[in-house]
Amino acid sequence: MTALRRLGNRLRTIREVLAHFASAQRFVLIPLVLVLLAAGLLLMLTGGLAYVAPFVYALF
Amino acid sequence: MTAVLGVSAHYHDAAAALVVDGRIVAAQHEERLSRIKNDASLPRRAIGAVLRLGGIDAAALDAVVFYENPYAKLERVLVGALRAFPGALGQFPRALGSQLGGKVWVVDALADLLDIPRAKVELVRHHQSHAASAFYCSPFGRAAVMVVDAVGEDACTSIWHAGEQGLRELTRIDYPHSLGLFYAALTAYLGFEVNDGEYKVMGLAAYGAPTRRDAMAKLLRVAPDGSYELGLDYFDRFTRTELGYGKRLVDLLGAARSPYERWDLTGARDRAYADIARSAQDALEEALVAIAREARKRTDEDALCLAGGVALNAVANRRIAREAGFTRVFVQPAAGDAGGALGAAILGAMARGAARPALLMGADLGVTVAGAPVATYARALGLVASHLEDVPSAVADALEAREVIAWAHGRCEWGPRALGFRSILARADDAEVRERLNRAVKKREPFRPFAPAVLETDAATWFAGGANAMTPFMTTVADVLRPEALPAVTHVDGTARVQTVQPESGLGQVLSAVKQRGATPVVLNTSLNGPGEPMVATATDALSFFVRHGVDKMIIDDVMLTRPE
Amino acid sequence: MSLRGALARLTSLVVWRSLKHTAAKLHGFALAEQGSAIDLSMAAQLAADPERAASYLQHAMDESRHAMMFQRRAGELAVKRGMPSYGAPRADVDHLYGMLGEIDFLAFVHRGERRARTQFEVYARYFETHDDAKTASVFARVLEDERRHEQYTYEVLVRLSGSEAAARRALRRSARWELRRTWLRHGRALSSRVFTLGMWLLYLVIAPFALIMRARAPRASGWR
Repeated sequence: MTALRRLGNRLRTIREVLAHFASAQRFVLIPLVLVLLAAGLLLMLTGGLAYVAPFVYALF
Repeated sequence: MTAVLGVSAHYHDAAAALVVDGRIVAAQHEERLSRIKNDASLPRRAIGAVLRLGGIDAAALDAVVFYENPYAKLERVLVGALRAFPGALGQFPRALGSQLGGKVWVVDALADLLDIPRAKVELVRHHQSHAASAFYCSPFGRAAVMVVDAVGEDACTSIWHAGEQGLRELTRIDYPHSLGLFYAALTAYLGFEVNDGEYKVMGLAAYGAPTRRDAMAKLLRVAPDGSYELGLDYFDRFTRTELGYGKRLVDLLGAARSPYERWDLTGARDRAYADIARSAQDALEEALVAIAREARKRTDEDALCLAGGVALNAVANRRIAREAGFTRVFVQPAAGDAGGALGAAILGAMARGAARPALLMGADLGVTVAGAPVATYARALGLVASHLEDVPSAVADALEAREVIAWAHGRCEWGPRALGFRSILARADDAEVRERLNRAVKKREPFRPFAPAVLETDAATWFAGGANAMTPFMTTVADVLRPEALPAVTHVDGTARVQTVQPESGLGQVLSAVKQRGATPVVLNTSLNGPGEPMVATATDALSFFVRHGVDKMIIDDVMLTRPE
Repeated sequence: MSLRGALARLTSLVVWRSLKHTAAKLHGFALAEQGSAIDLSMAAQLAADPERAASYLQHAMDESRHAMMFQRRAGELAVKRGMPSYGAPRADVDHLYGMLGEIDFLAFVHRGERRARTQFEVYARYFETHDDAKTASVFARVLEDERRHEQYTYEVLVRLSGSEAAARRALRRSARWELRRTWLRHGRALSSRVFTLGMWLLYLVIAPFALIMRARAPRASGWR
C-alpha cells in the first residue's frame, strides 16, 4: 500500500513538473523534461547517485 | 490548533521551523544537529527536533511548506544549460543528476519522511519566504522589504511592499544578474570558501583602499533607478562553476589569491587583495543603497526589512540604514537560506488564518542544552564538574579573572551568529585576548574581528547611535566611541559588530554582574565552535568542544567544567 | 602477520610511490578519521548509557585529533611538492549508529580499528625505513590510540552482546554488511558513470533545443 502510494506521489510530482513547464511557456522543453524525469525516476529507484558534487556555489 | 512546519534544504544551509497558532515555537539549523557545516541535506534531524520542541506529532501538522519551488529551479538550470550550449557539457550531468536524483522530488521526500499525505506539502517562492521571514519577525506594521541573495528560482533581488494586506512583490531582477553571485565570485577569487568566506571579504575590506573602482564598474553596473547588471563575460558560470569567476576576471584583476598561503597585510601583495576586497565591498554597498532608495521611492515607507544572504553583510546594512532614507531597518537573524524555513512556516500559518507572529525577541529557538548528564560524562573524560547556583556571577567571575569562558545554556541560536546561548565570552578591554582566542580556538585570519555584546541601556555609551532594530541580532556595525577602551572588539576601521542585550536574558545578567563589579560592561562574544565546525548545539557537542579547545572554563546549563590541576 | 598486514606491505610501494600520492593518501586518512569522529559523537548523543556515551565521545575526540594530524602532514607534504595544501577535512558521514544499532555499530567500529591498526603498523615501519620520521611518528601516535580503541570496542561489544560467541557473530554480521555496502557503492559508482555518459549524449542530442533557446533573446536586465 505505501509502495503504491509512493509511486502515486512520484507520478503527481511528474505531473506538477510538466504543468510548471507548460505554464512557464516552455512547451519546447516538455519532451526533454519527460526523458529527464524518466531517467530521474530510474535513479531514485536504483538508490540514487553517488554524486557529491564540489560546486563552489550550489546553483543547481 | 494550526501547526505549520517550514523547511529549507538542498542548496546551502538546511533548516526547519515550526509555527503553532501563529507563534514561532522552534527553528533549528540542520548543521547543528548533523555536525556537518552548512549541511544542505533534507533536514531530518531539525524537523524531528522542532516537532519535539513543539510537542507536535507529524500527523497533527496542518501543512508542511517548502521554502521554494523546485520545478522552477529545474527550469532555470535546464534553460541555463541550453543557453550555454555547448559550454555546459562538463556540468550538465552533475547539475541534472543533483536535480533529478533528489531535488525535484522534495515534496515526495517530505511526505515520505513525515508519513503524511502529499497534498499537505506546499511550495512557496524562495524570495517570498525570505521576505516573510524578514517582515513578520520585524517590529514594523508596514514596511518596504528588500530581498537580495545569490539566486532563488529566478529572482536575485526583489522589492516587496508589506503591511496588513500581506506581502506584495513590486519588482525584481532575475538571474544571472545577482549581487550574491558577484560577491561570491570575489570571495572565491580572494581564496575564501564561498558561502562561508563572505565575512572574511567584509573584514578584509577594512584594510584596503577602493583603488579598483574602475574594475568593479566593469563587473557591476548600477543604474540610477537601482537596477543593476553584471558584466557577465567576467562570470563564467557554466563553464567554470568550480571557480565562479571567469578567465576575464583574472585578466582584469590579476591572478587569483591562493587559499593556502598565510595572510600578510604588511606586504604589498596582500594589500592589493585587500584593495580589491574594499572595492568590491564598496561596489556592493553602493548597489544596495541604490536598490533601497528605489524601494523607498516605490513604497514610501519609513521602515525597511532586509533578507537574503547578502543581508548578512553587516557593514552594508549600516550604510543602507544611513543613506537610503529609511528611519528604521531590520534584518532577521537567519537572513540566509535557512531563514526561508521560518518564512515558509509563517506564510503557511497565515494562509490558514493564523495571526501574525509576535515580535521576535530572541534568537533562542533551537534545541535545549541540559546540564543533567554532564557530570557523568565529565568524570569519564577526566574533567572536574561542579554545580553552580548563580551562573551569571560565575561567568562574571571568570571574566574578571581575565579568563576565556565557553557558555552553553538554554536553546541554541537561530541564524549564524552566537547571541549568548552558545558563546565564547572574554573581556573586550583586554588587548591580548584576541590573540589568545585565535591561538586556542578560532585560528582566524588576522583581519577578522570579534564582536562585542553590551546591555541595550549601555549601548549609546560605548557605540555611536546606540541600539537599533538590528543590534539585538548582530546584523549591523557601529562606530566604537572609545576604541582604546575596547581593543579586543574594535576592527581596524574603528567599528564593531555590536549586539545589544536585554537585561533579563542570560547574557544580560552577566553584563549586569560585570557592570556591578565596576568593570567595562562590554564583553567579547564569539560563537562556540572550532574552525570549520558548526556551532555547538547539545551538551555532548559542548563537552567535546571543551576537551579539544583551550578555553579556560566551560559552563553547560548550570554545570561548570574545569580541567584537573 | 595477518593477510591484511602482508597486503598492506605489498601495496606500500604503490601507495607511497610519490610525495603527491602520499599526501593524497594521508588526506584520505584524515577524511576517514573525521567521518568516524562525527559518527562517534553522534553515537555519544544517542547511547543510553552515559559511561558508554563518554567513551564514544572520548573516542570521537581521538579520531578528530588523528584527522588533524594526518591533515597537517598531508598539507606539509603537499606544500613541499608545490601543490596547494589541504583545508580542514570535510568528510562524508554515514551516521551509522542510528542505522545499525549499538551492537552492530560497535562491531563495525571494532573492525575498522583493527583494519587501521594492522595497516598503520606496516606504514609506520615503512616510513621509518624510508627516512620520513615525521610521517612515521604520525602513524605511531595514531597507532597507540587505535590499539586502545580496538580493545575497548571489543570489550564493550562482548559485554553488550552477552558472550564472546555473540560478539563474534556480530563481527561476522558486520563483515557481511560491509561487503554488501562495498558492492552497492561500486554499483552506484558504475551507475553514475553510465548516467554521466547518458547525460552527455543527451546534451549533444538536444542541440536543436539549445539553438531555439539561444535564438530567443534573453530577458533584458533591469527591473521587471
